[in-house]
Amino acid sequence: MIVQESYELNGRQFVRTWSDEGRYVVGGNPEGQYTEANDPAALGRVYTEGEAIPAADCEAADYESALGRLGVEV
Amino acid sequence: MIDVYRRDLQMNDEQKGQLTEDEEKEEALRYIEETTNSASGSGGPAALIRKTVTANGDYTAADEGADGYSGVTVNVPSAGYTVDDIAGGAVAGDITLTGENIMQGAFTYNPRITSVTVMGAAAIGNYAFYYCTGITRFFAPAAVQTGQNALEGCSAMTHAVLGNLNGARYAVKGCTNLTALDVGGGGKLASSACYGCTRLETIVLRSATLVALDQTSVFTNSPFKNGGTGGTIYIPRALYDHLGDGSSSDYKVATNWSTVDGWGTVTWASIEGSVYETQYVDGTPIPTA
Repeated sequence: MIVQESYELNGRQFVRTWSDEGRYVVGGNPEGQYTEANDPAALGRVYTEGEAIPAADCEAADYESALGRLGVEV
Repeated sequence: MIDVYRRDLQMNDEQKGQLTEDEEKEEALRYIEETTNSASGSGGPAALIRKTVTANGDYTAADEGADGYSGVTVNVPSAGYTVDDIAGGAVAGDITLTGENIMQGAFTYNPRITSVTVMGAAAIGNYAFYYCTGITRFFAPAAVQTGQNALEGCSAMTHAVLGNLNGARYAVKGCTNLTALDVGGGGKLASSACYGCTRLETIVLRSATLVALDQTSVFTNSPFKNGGTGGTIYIPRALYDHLGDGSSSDYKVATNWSTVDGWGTVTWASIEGSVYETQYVDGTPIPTA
């Protein structure tokens, strides 16, 4: 589900948009997929919830472990 | 890439038990090649030099009939380097890479490379120069893709010229001496791309169309963040002032960029009329057509 909240920044009104399921939100300018979208409130931009979920953060340990499997000493 | 490794690492114990150590390495290499090729869309082989260099000068893997890898040239500063495993840190000095794509993790943790020039439309693999702490300059103006974490932790690097930063999460994360970043292509600046670039003060976005900003975390812990000391972003005049009266910028109303603008840390400027019209941020002249 799309979630939006308004906030003020240096006297200007903005709207933050995100998905409560952690999916991309689709729309914006330029139009596309965003992990989170912040827009001037006056523009009234509308978003839909995408299918895709942003990739999870990776850990350096994962990579170093994989290097170790290749015989590389880190 | 990490997803690929996770797929590898999540192999169950029964499956792991069926592989010899060499088979495991071969399997991991295959994953890397698959991902590099799919990321670049080239369909060509990944580039990896795995031979011993016996003389100084330009060295090309194909010259020695490398086992399935070809097309990368490394300028080796003197004889005696062993590049049987580049990731082990054998290559040093100012290197020029030509030919095909740069494999994921190819130079990871190599502290002896001092500068990198990537010739042509190569794809730079994920983690390709991860924590190469000796690199001071990275020049790849025609690169078609920069991988995730590709230059993370290059703490001595002051200038980076990249042909494309589309979707490259953590691309220059933690490059704590990076002062200027030059990006030629469009697409999207991905999450945390410039995270922790504490001295970043100049960004040049040359794309004729708006570069999307995935979220404002792209600039976390950089001078461009909310409350930071600020910096200048150079963009094409057509996007900087599309009405021609100095009053408008497409970036100021673009998704997420509008908030970055609202932080008050960004100064917008036109590439045209600036020094960056004729040269990259590292001072290299831009070839005229």
